[in-house]
Amino acid sequence: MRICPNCKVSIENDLDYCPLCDMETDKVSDDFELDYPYIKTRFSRRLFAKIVTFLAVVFAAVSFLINHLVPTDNPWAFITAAAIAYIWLNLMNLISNARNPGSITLWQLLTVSGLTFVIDYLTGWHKWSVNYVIPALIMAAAVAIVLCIAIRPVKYRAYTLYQLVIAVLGVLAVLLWIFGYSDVEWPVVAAAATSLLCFAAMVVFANRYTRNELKKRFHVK
Amino acid sequence: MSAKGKRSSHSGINEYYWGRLDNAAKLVPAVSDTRGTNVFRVSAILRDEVRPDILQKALERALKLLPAFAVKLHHGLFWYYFDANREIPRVREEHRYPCSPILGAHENGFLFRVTYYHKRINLEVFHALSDGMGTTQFLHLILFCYFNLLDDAEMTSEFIRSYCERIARDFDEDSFARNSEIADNTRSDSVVSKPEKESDAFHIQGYSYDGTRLNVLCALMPTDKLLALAHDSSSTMSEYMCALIIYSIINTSYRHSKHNRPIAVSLPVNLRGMFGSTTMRNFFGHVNIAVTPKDEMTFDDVLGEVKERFKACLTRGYFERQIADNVRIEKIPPVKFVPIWIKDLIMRYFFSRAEKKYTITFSNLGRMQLPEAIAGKLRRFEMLLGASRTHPKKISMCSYNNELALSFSSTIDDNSLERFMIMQLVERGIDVSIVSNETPEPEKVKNIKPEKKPKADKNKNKTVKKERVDK
Repeated sequence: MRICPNCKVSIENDLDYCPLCDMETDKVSDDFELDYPYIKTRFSRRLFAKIVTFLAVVFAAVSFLINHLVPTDNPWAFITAAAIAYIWLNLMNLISNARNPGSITLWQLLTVSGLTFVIDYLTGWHKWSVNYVIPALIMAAAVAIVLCIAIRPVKYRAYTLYQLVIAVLGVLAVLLWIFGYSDVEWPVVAAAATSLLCFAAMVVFANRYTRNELKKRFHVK
Repeated sequence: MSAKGKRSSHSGINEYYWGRLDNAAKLVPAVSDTRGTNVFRVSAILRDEVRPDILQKALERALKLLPAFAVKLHHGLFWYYFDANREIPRVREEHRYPCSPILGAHENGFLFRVTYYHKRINLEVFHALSDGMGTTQFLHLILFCYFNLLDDAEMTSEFIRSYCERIARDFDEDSFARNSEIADNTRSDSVVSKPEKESDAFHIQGYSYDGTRLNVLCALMPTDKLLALAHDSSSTMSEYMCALIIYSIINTSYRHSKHNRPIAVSLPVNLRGMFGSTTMRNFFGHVNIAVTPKDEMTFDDVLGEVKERFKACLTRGYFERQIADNVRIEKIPPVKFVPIWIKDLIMRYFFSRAEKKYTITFSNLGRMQLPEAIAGKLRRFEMLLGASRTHPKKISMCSYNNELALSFSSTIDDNSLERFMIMQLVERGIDVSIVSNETPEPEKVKNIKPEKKPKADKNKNKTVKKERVDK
């Protein structure tokens, strides 16, 4: 125990200076209470995010600069920028919440689709991305989530929403063909069918879980 | 099924359980971030060192008995909701600042955190989950389980069972929603004057610390002495402390302010007794006790005004109206169908407007009642509110066994309010003892203290001896 002669209070912790008036304290006895630990400053996630973001901007800027200074007709820096954006988006997702495989799958589906679309567009728009790659990615994502459930059924509930979103994306992919953005019909139809069937399997085999999950996610009152 | 899955299946909550947030909790996830964490803690200080292994078992058992706390927070398209959490919460030694954020996956998804440090057990809770009363009941249950596991004779399992039956009858009821209907029906009969429009209150300002740093200062004093002091001026403890807080603010940070704004203390009030509820979720109202400072205001002037405000506000009618007003908003049909992220923005706006109406929060948890059997093993309880960017200081108090703990939390580098208030209590003849979270760095203590001090002393002695020899 210590006392502060200035404030006339006793201090339970072993502090050389009074927390109230910052004056020296007098030691009365040797029994001190340990109430709070010393807090070490830690390496924060926010700092990591800042470093990643800063590096992404630097790399993108440098590639645009080189693209501009080295004479060429090919605007390759946009592809580099898209790749950097892809890496950046995935690292950010990793920092925020990367624990759910469903979320990672959906995120990969969206970012890889975006990346291939940009590359395709900038390299002469041969439509290989919308024709084949994006439908294939949708199929792969739907099957990946089914596999996740097969491996870890305990975490079943966490996947329902992601499977639903992938099914919706699968149906939307058909619109690519209807509105003439893609030239080949069978990949988009296959993607829609696969993703819908995977979601249907959830409804059939885990009826109560799925209903419960949808009720929670979409409850209004 | 993995081993982890098997273990978690023992948790007391049904795997299909899910629940809506109560009316007050709906606001909390929208307005919480690393600087306004909306986390508070209730700590129990034991007589002996805490045994972490027993505490871990006690927590698991308590959670099974009281599954209201075995939830995680999710957001749907329109509202947040609680989902069954079948993981196991981990007890850890305290290693962060008090009331640091509880969000995301740090606590296995739980919305509370149990830590220990030497003789302390800290239960920190995210305000969306429960309020001070619900948290205290959960902490008591953890303590009962802890002492039961430590020594079966003093805390019997029968007592724990009867305690659980008493406290957890309707554990996740939204008492706001239930009582809003009563309030709506009786509104025409009861004479409830519309509360006058409150003007913006004075705000304490200062240079804030980086990150989640929170300064804690806890003043310990005998309850009976303080109660006698309050009774001498014919007021209750809450009235007296409220007046003292306002008086202290007038004499510290307010003196430098340019505006003549009122000083308002926001006082959370537990509504369970008033409305006959036993929910584990939030059920509190709040009143703003506002005093507009005038020149040469004495403590008794402040106390007089505070007492008047208490009389006007602490009535059933006042809270019936408050509940009805708050619940009515969430029942408007178009509001229901607004996506959650837009709701978040709207709620943040209204919250920031409401925040402007008060200067400081003062929460009085009151006197703790615990069975005699374990009274010898507990020293005291403390309650602490996490301060925020807009309200850098918050005050809370609770008492047990004639030991009252008045806790100040602060995110700014200025303790003049704490100092003035404690000095006032000391001047009134109360013995105050202080606990602070200002802890010196452990390495420094080891390196500097044993080496430097004895050396300095030896040198002094030598010089003295030499002088004597010379003479």
